[in-house]
Amino acid sequence: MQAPQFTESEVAAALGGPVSHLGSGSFGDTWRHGDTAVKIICDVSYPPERLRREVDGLSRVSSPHVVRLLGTRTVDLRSQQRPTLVFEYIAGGDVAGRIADGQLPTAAEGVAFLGGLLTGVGHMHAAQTVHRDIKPANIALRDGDWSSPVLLDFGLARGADEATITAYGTAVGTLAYMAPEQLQGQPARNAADLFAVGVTVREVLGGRHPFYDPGTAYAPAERIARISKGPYPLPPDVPEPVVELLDRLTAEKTGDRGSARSSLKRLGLTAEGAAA
Amino acid sequence: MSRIGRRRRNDDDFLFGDDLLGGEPEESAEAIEGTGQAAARLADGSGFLIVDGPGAGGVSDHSNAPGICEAASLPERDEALDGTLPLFIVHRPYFFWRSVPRLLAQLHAAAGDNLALGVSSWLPGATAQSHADFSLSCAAAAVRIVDPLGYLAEPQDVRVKKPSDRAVTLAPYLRSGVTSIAELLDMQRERGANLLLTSGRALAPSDARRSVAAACDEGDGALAELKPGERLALNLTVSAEWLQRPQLLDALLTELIEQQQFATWHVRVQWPSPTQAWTQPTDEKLLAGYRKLAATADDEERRLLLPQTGLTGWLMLASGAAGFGTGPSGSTQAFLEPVRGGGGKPKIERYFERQLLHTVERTARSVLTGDPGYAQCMCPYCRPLLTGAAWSHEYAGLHYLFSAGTLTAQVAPTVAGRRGTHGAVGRTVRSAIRFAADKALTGNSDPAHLRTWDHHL
Repeated sequence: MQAPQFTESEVAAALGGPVSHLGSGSFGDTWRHGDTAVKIICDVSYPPERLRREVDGLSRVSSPHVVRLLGTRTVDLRSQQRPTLVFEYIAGGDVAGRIADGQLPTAAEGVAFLGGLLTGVGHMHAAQTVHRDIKPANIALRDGDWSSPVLLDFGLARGADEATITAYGTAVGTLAYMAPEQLQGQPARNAADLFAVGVTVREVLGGRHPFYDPGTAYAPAERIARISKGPYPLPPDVPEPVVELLDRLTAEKTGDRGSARSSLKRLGLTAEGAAA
Repeated sequence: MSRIGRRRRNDDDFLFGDDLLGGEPEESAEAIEGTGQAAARLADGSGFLIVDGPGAGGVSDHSNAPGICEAASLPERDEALDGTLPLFIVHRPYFFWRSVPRLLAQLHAAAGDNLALGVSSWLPGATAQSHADFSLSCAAAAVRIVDPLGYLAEPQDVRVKKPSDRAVTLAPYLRSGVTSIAELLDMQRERGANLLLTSGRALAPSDARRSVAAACDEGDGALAELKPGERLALNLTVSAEWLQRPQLLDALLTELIEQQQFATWHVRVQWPSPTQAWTQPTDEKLLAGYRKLAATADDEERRLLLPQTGLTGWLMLASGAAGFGTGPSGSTQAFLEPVRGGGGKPKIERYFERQLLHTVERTARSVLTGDPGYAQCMCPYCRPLLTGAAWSHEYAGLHYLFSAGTLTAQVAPTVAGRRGTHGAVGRTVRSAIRFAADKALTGNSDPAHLRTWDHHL
């Protein structure tokens, strides 16, 4: 895990109580503080627009599968005011950690995981919010339960009606989970989130990335070519309708991926994730 | 003979013929009102529509006269658009449009439990008053559309003739190509529409994504202008290549999926040459594109309406289209590329053979009627049509619409049985194939589409 930019004692003093480090990204650290997770933006160059998007994105959505934003505040660290976002703390770790530890779900757990993710994504899309960076590291498992995934980190989210941002280059998101259209520099829309859900679920079910080999660097054109070629097969115990749904979600063409809602229908679930 | 009666040749003329100004069409011939006595309760509860017997098509404030029995209630617009019943849309013809209200009432009497009805008029095709009168008179139509035909303003992306001066006078936005969506909606409201449409400008294949996005932006503007209780359909006009070329189709499907705010999509597809009037396209890619569009709409719970789609629209009910439109004339039944020349030729006498799912030339009918399995049509128009001394294009057109409407009801989910609409359409097509098998039909009378359809089911 990447080291935090501030010491535990510094953060504890700033927040006013004991803390433990949960993780770090390029712009900030996340600390557990009581039953909250506090994301401290450490980088002074962090664009305020991105912070606003994250807050806006989270404020629009209400879902058990999307992390709940409890509020925003600033904290004084090393004599500088740092913006922070206060979230509910989700015990159970994230999916990237599970993959790293080789703790993969059974086929049945994987299907439940898919249902939970689609429910959360459906709620986001119904609230006109596109996540744009769904990947194992941005999915927590509430109480460690594969059927209770929670989408985290809305730093790249945007309203469906907002203009595309280009501040981070033409492709926004994480390359290994990007849809072909994102790799081509086109705006990420709902279909891109669904592609990332499909890749993530295939990865945990298959035990490997569905398109890329580990430790290999790919140019965007090579990535697109590999996606066009199709994913690695899934284990035989994954039910055929689920394989078909995952094929649909990871389709190269955006018009072939359907919506979260129609995907849930294929799993026999309502938009709320309940049995239809 | 009036000047109009002398010069008009087809329904296209009122949109594209500059010299055909003014006047209303001739009165329809004698009413064919049926011998039954039935009335249907109007959706708003204000009275009854006579659906069978003297006065069919008219509205009465009571239905308790001796001998009158109450028919199925008329569905309201929102019921007609909820996907429970297939929506059959009749495009208003230039000729004999006064017969349409009666036809709709008769269709309701014959199949109202399994069919929702709509009418669609072309905004540049008649005066505001004429539209309003027509809309008001079509009491059996749960859905009333007055289509702006915005594609006529910028005709580079579909092949159409230049609109006539009269059409431009009636729809000034066709001249400038610019009008606010609020004004466009107002024009439709004034003309009696209860399902409002966006402009329907043609999408540009050369700039697909931007073009679809612009149409959706216009739709968002229209949604913002809706008054309480109003409904809107996103109105798109595309050339056949949009359904034939994977990239263009993907752009269309992507928006259908992404733009969740549009519950109803009204998509007009121009069939490519050499598809001729009263024949169905057999291009595999076009049909596959239609099918994918309809299936995606169904999957995403959007209502897909396919105006001017002839029996191909009926076929697409099997794939998930919510409704389709057709009319009694060559130009209203389907959206075809204009053909050059042809003026002055006598109008071909055609008859829709329901068992064949095809319109044949009158002279070819004997090939069919001699078959012991031939079923004589019992619609209200066939007796006078087939026994009259002179061929009535009006009755032939009304017979076609009546038949297409009842065919639609026949495949409604409410009657289609275990395999649903898809199964019912398949059975009907295969039955037509069997019926056509040993018949020597040639030219436009040959139901060449049936084999292609069978592959697509």
